[in-house]
Amino acid sequence: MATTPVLETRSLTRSFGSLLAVNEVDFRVPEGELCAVIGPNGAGKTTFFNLISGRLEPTSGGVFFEGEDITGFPPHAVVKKGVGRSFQITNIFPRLSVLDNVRIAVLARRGKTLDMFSPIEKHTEEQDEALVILGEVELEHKAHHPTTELGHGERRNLELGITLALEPRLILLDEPTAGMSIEETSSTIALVKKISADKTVVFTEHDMSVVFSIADRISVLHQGSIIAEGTPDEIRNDELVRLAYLGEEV
Amino acid sequence: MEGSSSNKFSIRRLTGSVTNRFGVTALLALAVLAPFLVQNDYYIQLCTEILIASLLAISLNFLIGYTGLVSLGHAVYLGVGAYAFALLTKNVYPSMWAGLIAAGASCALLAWFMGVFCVRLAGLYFAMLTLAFSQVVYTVAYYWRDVTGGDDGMLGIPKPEIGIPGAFSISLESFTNFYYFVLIIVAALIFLAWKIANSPFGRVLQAIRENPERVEFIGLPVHRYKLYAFIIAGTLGGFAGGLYSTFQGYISPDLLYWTQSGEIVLMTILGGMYSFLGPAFGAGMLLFIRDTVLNFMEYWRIVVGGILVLLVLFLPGGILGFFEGWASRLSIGGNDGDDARS
Repeated sequence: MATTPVLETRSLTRSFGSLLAVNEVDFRVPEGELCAVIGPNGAGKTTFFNLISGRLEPTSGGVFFEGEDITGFPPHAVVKKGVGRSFQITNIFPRLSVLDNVRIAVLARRGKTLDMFSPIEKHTEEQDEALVILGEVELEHKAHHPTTELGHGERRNLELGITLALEPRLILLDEPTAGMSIEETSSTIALVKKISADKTVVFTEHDMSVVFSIADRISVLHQGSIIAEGTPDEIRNDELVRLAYLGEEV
Repeated sequence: MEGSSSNKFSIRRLTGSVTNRFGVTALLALAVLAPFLVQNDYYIQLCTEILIASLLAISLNFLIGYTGLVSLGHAVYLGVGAYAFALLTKNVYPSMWAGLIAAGASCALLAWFMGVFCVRLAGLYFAMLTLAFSQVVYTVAYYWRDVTGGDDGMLGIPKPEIGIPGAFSISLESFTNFYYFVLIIVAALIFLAWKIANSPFGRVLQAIRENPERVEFIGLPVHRYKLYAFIIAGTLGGFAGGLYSTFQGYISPDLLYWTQSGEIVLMTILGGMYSFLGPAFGAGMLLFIRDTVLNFMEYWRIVVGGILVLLVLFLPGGILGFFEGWASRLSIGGNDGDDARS
């Protein structure tokens, strides 16, 4: 391949005891792509994300971001390299205000979090930037509210906002629409599409209609291994995938 | 702490408000006027002790309320700060400033050393390790007779005068002078703590309390931030220890004992750990109760224990926490959103 992929894993493997959760996965994401990783529950999607983002260390194999070996980096170092992620279970700062949830991420990216003596409100540039991001995830009007007043979909959006505030070049989204209503799902999907216009995005999703409508490319994970990769059309017509996972659904 | 209604509560308090500013001014005025109001050496001394305990409780709350780390070994800084002050002023040079700097610096180093091990843990394990460390230091102070005087402790710790040599000097032997000296030091350090609490760094500590893993995933090394919080808390605690040393004039290993750590935790919870000044309020209350009840019976802890049970059941945000929540609800008519802005 001519250009370096944004993300590449080589023979990435993680076992828990005798269980091979992720098994020899070779995975490449070229720049700018919106790539879906699908598979039945327990296929290893979240483990795969945890390995890439540094939450788990691989048993063997490697993770490369923009050509650089980041295998075994702790999460904060992976983030600093330019990889942001969101979580399947909403992962925000519950007792901070909506604004602070995003502001803290902006301050972190700009390296201002060791400032101990100036009031946080004096950092107006970061505050304005946080408000812009809250606008993108449609939460600007709730900036000064506690997160406890947000609905489930809004919290998911807030989490996305925290991740966006890091200005990652690669975003990993673990089931961005988990637990959302139909309207919330469609607005979040629109948001994901918008984000992917100038970023590389890898996401997992259980809603197949979503996956097939927005993904550029789909990888199918089954029992820890990638059994198929291709465009939505190719995956739709793949016999193996039909047998292993999709069944009658598609 | 759990449940959405108390969640709203704490956001109000953490973000500060107009009611806070009024409260702080009133409190400061009260502290300045206290010696005139009580007009009695005994009570001036009690007020001095409350000031020192306030600093100690606020320093602990950096860990408990802000970073979400329950330390059960905070008395180690009270004790080590006190011994550092005593050893320096008695054996090296009788200077108030040198003594206080020795107290703060020794505790900063100690906190750094202990912190490297402690911050890797969370929850109960963190609490147990801080407890264990403090008991080790207690044991050292107890048995190292040559330096610490063992269980006899150290007597005759001076109150060196302050001023510029050759130009002027102020004696701190009078209770009132000493009270004002302590007030200035404590107020300055609490102000510093308040600055840190409201800085971007302070907000990161709160974020760690809320969700340490997410902090890691916004690109910050959580252990390092916890370590800094640990050192700040320890250093401020060390200054409190130094002040206590010169205030009492004698010290013993009891200062380092785990029950003393428990008392500082009590102050924090009594006053309210999600309120910046809550722990100071708790310190005042605890010492006041001790003083009052001791006139009637020895078992003042029973009273404190009873109050604590009632608090945990009915006012989980602590006493000052409760009043702050109540005041801000009055002033903003129940609109949480506007309050979080200030």
